[in-house]
Amino acid sequence: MSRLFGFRYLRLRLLVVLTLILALVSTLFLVTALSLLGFYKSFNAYLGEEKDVVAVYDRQSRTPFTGVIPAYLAEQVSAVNGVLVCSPETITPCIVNNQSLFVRGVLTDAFFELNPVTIVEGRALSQSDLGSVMLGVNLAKRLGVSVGDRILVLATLADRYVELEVSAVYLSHSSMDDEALVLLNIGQWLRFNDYNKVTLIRAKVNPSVVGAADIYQELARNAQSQTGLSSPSNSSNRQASYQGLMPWATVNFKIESLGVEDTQNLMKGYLDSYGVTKEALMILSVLVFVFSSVTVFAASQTFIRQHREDLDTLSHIGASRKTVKLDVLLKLLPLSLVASGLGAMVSVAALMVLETFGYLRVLSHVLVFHLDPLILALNFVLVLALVAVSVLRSDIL
Amino acid sequence: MAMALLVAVVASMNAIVNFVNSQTAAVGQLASVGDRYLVLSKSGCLSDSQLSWETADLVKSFDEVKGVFPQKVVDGVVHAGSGVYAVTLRGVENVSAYLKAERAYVNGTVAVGLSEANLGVLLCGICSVNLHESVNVTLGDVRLNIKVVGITQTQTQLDSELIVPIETANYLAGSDSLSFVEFTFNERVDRQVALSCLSVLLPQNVEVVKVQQTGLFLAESIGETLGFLAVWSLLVYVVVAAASYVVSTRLIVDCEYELVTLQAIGAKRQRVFTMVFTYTLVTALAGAFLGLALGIAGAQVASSVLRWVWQGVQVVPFLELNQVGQILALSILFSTLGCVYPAFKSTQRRL
Repeated sequence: MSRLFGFRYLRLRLLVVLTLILALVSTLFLVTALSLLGFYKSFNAYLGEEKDVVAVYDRQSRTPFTGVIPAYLAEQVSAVNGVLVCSPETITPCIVNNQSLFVRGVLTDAFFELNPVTIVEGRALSQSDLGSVMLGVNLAKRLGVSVGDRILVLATLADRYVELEVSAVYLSHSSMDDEALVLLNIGQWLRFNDYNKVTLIRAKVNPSVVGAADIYQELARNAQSQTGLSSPSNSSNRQASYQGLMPWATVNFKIESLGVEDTQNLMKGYLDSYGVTKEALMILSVLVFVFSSVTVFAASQTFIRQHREDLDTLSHIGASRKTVKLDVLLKLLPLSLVASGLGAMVSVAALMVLETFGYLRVLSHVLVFHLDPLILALNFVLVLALVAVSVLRSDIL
Repeated sequence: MAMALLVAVVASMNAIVNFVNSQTAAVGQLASVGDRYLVLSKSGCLSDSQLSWETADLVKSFDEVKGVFPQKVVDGVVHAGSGVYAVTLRGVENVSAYLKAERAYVNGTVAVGLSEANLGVLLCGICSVNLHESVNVTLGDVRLNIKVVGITQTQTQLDSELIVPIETANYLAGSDSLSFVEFTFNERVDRQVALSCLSVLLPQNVEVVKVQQTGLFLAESIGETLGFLAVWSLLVYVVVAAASYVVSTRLIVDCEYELVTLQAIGAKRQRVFTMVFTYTLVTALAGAFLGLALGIAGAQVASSVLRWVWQGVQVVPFLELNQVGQILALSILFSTLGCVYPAFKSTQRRL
């Protein structure tokens, strides 16, 4: 076999064609896998990637953006021992300049403690900035607006509009870079019929002191002792600091409709409910590879047919079928490595181009694809296996 | 089979994305669609917009509309006992009717004269101004002493504004132009038709904007997914072209003897080209049909398995008729592109 290895009988032009087909299939697999898993990762990280952030949410909502929970629960959550900071938020789909975006209503102090951002231009919102908005860098670029410009925000879940002045452009290195930040009350205008509701409440906790289950139990205990509507609370200075400009009223709710979870688990739960799991996306990507690999299989068979005369000659001078197969395989394996490497480079370039031109966007958020080493390794393994199977199962001689 | 499997990938992906988009649309339909419209100049924002009263009169005279409220929005400064605050003044032609249309809760009365105003409940909190208190409002060099006769709560931007009769806003701004006109259509009016008729009546530099934009948001969201799917599908079709190249090359390699014989007995090059080309296209067509069937069936089976494995998961993939046509057409197109070179090369063989 070692003697055969030095014998160059495979034609270069045909080798190039086979390599290109392999690279193409590899590109298809990587573009599929990296974009799908990028979507999964970006969506999971939407409410924060930290392990110590929990969210109080509406279990009946079908998306993280459409929940409705009482705002005053933020006071109760903030009062739980071990809760470090608590951020009630509204998340509202809106339209500006005929483009879709999400507007997040927040209490600035609490929110920035939970999600520090870097102000690229302008000044951060103050607690009484009812005519201003902060835009994420990606969003500002997409809308083509800068600090000082005014934008007309049209709501989609309510028949309302707001005109706001861009006070700052911020960078968060997260999906928030595609969102607009406003004061909680403005978020409530665009979404609800009163000031007593929010979409969700996020809280940063000390995990050694309190967890999601403890917060849920505390809320359940408070709900049991609660009796109907009451006057605005304002019970203490600490609690008052968690309110917007309007005091929150205590309203009735069913504790069963509330959920408290780690933010990542919460987002994972939403995706799971639509059957979108990491495993499902990986299987889908591998299936795409397997389906397209039939083309590579056919190409390998054709490649061997095209060298039939050379292989016959080798056989006639004494090379066994096994030896010839192994020799062809050894000659093709380095090429398969080149092909998968080429596929990886083309995929990354293609995804970067797609990202730049806004094709990698779901629900107004740009997907951040990560070069997962596992996927790259899987790509190499799959391409190598495909070439090996194609050659070993071919009818050489 | 190679082509069939590739087409199956595209078909199943389209079917799943269709389901996701239908879910997005369903979520959007949970929101009631409003009927409020704004007429403003094509400046894109309210405060920069400038309209004449003639435009407002045109809207008012249109039979199909109701609740027409010409408004003027200007930036002013409030000098209250607690300090000086930058505020937005909203001048409205009929404050009483407007607040009623906004379903406002008013603590006090509605502003009627030049020196009366309603203060939004949030602005009231920021400025620490009480009911019946007077504040000085300045806009440029013009100053006016205004009495707060009512505190309003509407759950809109009005809650952060000073609402005054339009005469007050005109006096402070020193001009009688308008910023925009707000209106709704009458019930039982075909809004699209009425909107078209109204747009024809209005000056060229004016646009009508619907406030609640649920439809546009959904269209944008669905467009984003479809945009990615289109680009991704293009990559699959490139692989289809490669598969077509392989199929035609394989045909030429396998039928080399027959093709040479045909040429030797006088078959023209064009005839050989047509044979290879037709064979590949027939294979592609068969592959495309088989792939469509496989794709739809595969997606349905996978969704059923998902439903069994994860209780509560409801994935119902489907393919629309125009997508079927599109997938077939693109499969044929890329197959054609893929087989042209090998078919051409097969005619260049020397006997």
